[in-house]
Amino acid sequence: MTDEHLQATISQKAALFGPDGDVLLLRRASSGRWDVPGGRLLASEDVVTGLRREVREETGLDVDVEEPIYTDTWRTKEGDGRYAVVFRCTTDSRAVELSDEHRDWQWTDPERAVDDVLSPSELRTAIERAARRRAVVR
Amino acid sequence: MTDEPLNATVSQRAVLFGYDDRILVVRRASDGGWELPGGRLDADESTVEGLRREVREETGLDVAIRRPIYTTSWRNDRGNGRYGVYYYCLAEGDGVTLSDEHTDYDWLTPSAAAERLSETQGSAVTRATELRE
Repeated sequence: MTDEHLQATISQKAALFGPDGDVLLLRRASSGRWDVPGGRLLASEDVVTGLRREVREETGLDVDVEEPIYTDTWRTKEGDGRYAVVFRCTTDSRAVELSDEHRDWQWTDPERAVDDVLSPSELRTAIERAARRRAVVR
Repeated sequence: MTDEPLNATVSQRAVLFGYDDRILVVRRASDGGWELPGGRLDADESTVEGLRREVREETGLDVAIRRPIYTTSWRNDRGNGRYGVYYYCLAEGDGVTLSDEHTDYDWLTPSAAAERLSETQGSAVTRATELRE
């Protein structure tokens, strides 16, 4: 082995579908960019507990975590490793309560989210794939 | 928040389907246990590059990576954080060449593979079988 292993914090995000198949987008207070809910896994948590906690903190919603859809890895400007996983999630409520991290939200058609709202190509790919899985999952 | 973010190395493994819908399992030289091929992601490689490299090093096979299917987090015996990601993959070819990390291999039906592997890796096999298109 010539290279060293990546040492990373784990960012888990939700491609979150509501009762009518719309997807939830949040607008970051800091940058004004649209994003999806989620955040870093804590040391004491399992995968599903961590993602459910983050989504609840950011949206007030209880979600079902279904399956991972997309993974990505990169380094921050400071050189820290990140590994991100987007999961397909569902909820039966549309009643969002934001935290201080975000200033706006929208439930929107997945196609519109991909074409018109989200800019990072990784998120667009993840939402596209998650939407395609919709009919297939039990 | 009283808790720290997990700082982990990331282990990526392949639920690798080959001829006749059989799954490749490999036997560790260290303790004789059976596992799915794969290993830890290196710094400065993409998720896909890392998994393809590990599977090629361990089996000589090229793989088509279809999608992630299962993730898990844990701490190893020394308390270091680990995050595991399993991918549904298809083998391109079936001529396996092992590295010295493994002593044997087998192509098994999904249910036989799930039985021979650890509980976590067996769950990944079950998920891959369920989610196959």
